[in-house]
Amino acid sequence: MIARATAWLAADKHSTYGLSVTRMILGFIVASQLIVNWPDRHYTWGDGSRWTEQVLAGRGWPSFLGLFSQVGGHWFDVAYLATIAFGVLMMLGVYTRASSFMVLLLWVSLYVSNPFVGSGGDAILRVVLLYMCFTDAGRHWSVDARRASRRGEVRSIVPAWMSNILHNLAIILIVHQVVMVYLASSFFKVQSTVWKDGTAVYYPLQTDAYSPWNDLLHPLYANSAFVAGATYTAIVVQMFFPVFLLYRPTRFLALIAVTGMHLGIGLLMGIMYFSLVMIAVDMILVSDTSWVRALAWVRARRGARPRDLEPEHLQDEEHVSTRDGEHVVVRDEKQGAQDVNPVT
Amino acid sequence: MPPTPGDDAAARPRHRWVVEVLLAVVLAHSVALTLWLAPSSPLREAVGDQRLASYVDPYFQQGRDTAGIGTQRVDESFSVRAFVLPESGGKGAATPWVDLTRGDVRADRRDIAPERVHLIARRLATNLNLAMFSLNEPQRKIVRDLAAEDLPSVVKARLEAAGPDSEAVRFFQAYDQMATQFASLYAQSRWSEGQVVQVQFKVGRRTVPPYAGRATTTLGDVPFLEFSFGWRATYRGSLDARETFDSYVKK
Repeated sequence: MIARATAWLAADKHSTYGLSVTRMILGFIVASQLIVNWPDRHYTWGDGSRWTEQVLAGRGWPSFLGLFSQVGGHWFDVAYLATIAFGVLMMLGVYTRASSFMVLLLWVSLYVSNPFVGSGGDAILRVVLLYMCFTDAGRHWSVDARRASRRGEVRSIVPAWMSNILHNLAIILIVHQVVMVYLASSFFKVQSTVWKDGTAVYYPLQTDAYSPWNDLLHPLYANSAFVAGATYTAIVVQMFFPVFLLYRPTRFLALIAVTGMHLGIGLLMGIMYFSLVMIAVDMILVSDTSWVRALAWVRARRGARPRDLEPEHLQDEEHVSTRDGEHVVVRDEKQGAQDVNPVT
Repeated sequence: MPPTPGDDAAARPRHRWVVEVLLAVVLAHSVALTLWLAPSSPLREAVGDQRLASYVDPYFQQGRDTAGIGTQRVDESFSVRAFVLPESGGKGAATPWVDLTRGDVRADRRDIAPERVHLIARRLATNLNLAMFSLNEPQRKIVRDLAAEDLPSVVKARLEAAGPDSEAVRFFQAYDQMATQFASLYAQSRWSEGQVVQVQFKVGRRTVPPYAGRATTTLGDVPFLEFSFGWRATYRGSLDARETFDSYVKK
């Protein structure tokens, strides 16, 4: 069994398309969040947040994460702009691993400087960014991929099998993280009276923190059918999410349901940032095969020539493999066979 | 058929050894995170919350709040006022109360991605409410009656003498100090026409009415249960901090 697991881990990178989408969305989130908060940056995270030092002292964060707590004035702005810039670079897939690592370092440092303005989305983002540093998140739809296709073979310092294993283990950890969030959430819910009696959604929607549309949507929130439907749907989707993932048709159903749930939460409760982070991470659960089929379908709908449908898939496989240095992967889609030939 | 990298790696003892170690690390990490996020169980209790926390915090820090919408049923408020001496001299006066959370709620109306700055007052209220609910009634009276000249060490001794939970006292004092600093910086920017010599803050909490009564009562009909804190000597803060508050408060 371990031999099979090792082979699965080392043979090829999995979920590369989904991870590329995750990378783009997370990069966008980081950059856009900081741009949105630009006018109040000093008050939120800079010199104006020093009153939180009592909490920071008790958190035990490593000192190297204290950048934003230690710089002020123009240097704070430089670090803030650098975080935006690395977020954009990550989104575009420019030196993806390095930019992901820098985003992780700077974003966590920013979070540490004022924990009063953090959110649940930050926690997921931080953990996923950490795992992403071990992945090949720039394999598709990135400047790195484009550059690799022009340059051809570039020898990597990490052997292909090791790169594949780190990538796939990181994917497993990301998927485990998101599944645990849903599963733990559903376990807490079924232990609560208001979730069991189908009224839980009503309560947060009445509070100021989660009701930006309360005056307009109050009749909806007060409707028993809507409240019970939303409450039980949330429990069912989260509790059975891991089970739904095992079978392709139910996996799509689960992803559509969970994305819809996040969009509903984001739009109705005013926490779009958290919802976007979760949607971004859920994208990893769509397999490469599904992404390729979807792309082929989209291109066919646009009237692309038949020969245009395959090359990107094959080219992408080829880039990454050559970048990793040891192998070229060639897929034979018709026969479903996979041959791997040493280059060197 | 040539070997795949997986077969190749599995066949080489050194590679396989590396993979097995990495798998073991991933497995141990996943079990720790699973136990941390899962509800209480004998297994979790056997490992111990403290041990799990020491691993999960700070790098993988997360909790129930990351697990999506919960059962939030309360609204909270944080209000500030100050005792201000006129620049021209003479007798000072207390300003009216300013509810900072109300301003944040107004700003966040129709906003699906609100600015993070609007979370601060509410988060302060959450922690201060928690601190006050952890104290007993004699301790709350001590807090209500605090005066600006009371030293933290004296307050600590009085609170500890009035209740058995020293951790609750420590928690209260940490957030009380932060709230004092925040309220001072806010007050100096807000009432800059005079000299702010003392500040006071209060927090409120109200609970959403039961679902059965939704047709007759709304949250707006429910009064806040308030905890008042005594007067505090003003914290001046650094010039940079004061300028930052000026630029935000006077916006």
